[in-house]
Amino acid sequence: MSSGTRGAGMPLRGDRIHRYVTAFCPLCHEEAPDRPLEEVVRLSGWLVEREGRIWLERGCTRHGLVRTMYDESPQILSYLEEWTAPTKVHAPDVVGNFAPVPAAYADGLPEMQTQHTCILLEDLLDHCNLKCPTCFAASAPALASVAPLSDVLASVDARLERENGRLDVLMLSGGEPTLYPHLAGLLDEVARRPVVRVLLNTNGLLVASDDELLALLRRHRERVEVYLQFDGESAEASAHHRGADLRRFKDLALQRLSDAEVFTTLTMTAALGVNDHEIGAVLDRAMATPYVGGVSIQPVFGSGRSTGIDATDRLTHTGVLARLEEQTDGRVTWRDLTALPCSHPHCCSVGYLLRDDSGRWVSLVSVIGHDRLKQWLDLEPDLLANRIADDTIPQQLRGVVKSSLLDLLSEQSSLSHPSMADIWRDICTHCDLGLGTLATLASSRLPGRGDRLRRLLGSECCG
Amino acid sequence: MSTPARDPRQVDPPHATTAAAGTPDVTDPLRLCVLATVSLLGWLLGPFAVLVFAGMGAAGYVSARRAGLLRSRCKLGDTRLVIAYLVTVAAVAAVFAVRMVTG
Ligand code: SF4
Repeated sequence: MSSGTRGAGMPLRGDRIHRYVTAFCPLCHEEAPDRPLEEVVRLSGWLVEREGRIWLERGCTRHGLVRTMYDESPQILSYLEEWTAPTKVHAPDVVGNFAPVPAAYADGLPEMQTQHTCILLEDLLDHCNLKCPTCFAASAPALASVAPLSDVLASVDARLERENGRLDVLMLSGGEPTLYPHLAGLLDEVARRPVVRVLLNTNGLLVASDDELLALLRRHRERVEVYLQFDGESAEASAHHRGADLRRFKDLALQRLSDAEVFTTLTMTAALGVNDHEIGAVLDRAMATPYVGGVSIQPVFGSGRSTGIDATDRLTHTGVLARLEEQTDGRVTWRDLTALPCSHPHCCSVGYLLRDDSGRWVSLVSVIGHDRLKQWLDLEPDLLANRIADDTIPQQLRGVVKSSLLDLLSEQSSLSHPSMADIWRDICTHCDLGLGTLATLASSRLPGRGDRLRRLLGSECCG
Repeated sequence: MSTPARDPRQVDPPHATTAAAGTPDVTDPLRLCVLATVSLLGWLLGPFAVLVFAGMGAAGYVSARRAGLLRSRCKLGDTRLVIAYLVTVAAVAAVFAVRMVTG
């Protein structure tokens, strides 16, 4: 082989491996979407950084190297990976089910699942009063199947049993769950069970007009929170995602929920080139509306009726985070959020904004500080070890704060969570955050504290 | 001649352009030779050369587009634009070729 002349050697690949992954081939899937799960081939793949983006590349024996865009910002993705925390034990549905993913999920949660059921999602019906062009559930007015109440309750009970008698969040969805004929009965039944919180996903059409429904939500407002579909302030966003300009219904629904003191999260479906520039506007609306406790921004993905997404150029999780700073004039940046520590750090991020004593919105992360937050979550054992000598936080306080923070930064977090008062009290009083009113109220044991705290959280917090 | 269009998600693996092991580290300036030859033909044959090449190009792109090639590596991008360009060039060349023959 060596002829004595030196060759050029190998050139650089032009990319940087971020991590190795197991993946699947989207082209094989599109050819036969209904193939049995055990026939889905697992492929070697990697996440790779190239030209300032993260790409998912996998080698398929039939289609060769297949590349799709994974996430927009390598920097933010790496930052999110700093936030992981111990997760809770789960109960597999079939003990000993070590089949590989995805076949394993044909028999419920397998042994190799790493997440307990932090949210139980119940699809109550596939009927809906809209037919959104981007609906991933492909719901429509023409569909009419409704889950019997007894089946829904049986599913809740089965999960309660698996989860050791406590379910943090039950999410009701569909279709449009406010059209579920047994909604009142279901909420009453759930109220009798150890389900901490109920989230109701709704497009808001009925909320805007139905007084009986609003009264039902008000009656259950200590436990029920509404996830209101809210795609932005422009007619274009509404037309693209919902097929018509529905803004006046959304405004009315939001106003009625706020007046009824029902905690609401604005749920924004965001798509590149459609409403990715309206993220800041939705945050502004949330901060300006009492009892809007949160904003949930979900980039569209290709499922159900929502196809036609460009797999090589689309809005992603880190892309949403990257857009925050510009669209809020620097009031919120991606550094104000952390990954949800209990789930996969690429999936979801969370942040809290609080109005401080001077009326300014500040993020929980910025008042506590990244390093301190990591210490409290025990994510940086080295740093912690080095600080043992001069640690200013007494040991047991750290324990309290850590578990409070873990609760706060977990999927179960929400302002309507019953333990929210304790969480804020722990955090505010032990950390001297300059949130006097909140701390005082959260730590007071006066009668009516719950109501006053609800009102305060309704106006001063946004998650 | 036309290769079936690939899905844009299918990409080439990062292989080195294989200079056989031991081949000296010099690039072959083949492209320059090709350009010189094409210019020579253009000089000798004038509009006839342009007509032939543009015609062949347009025909090639039409069949490639039928086979599913929507985008070309050509700067014009969309294959419809490339076809339009080549047809225009061929038409102009045809006018000049006719003039050369008749005048
Ligand atoms: S996205 Fe929601 S509101 Fe729209 S059709 Fe689907 S279920 Fe109905």
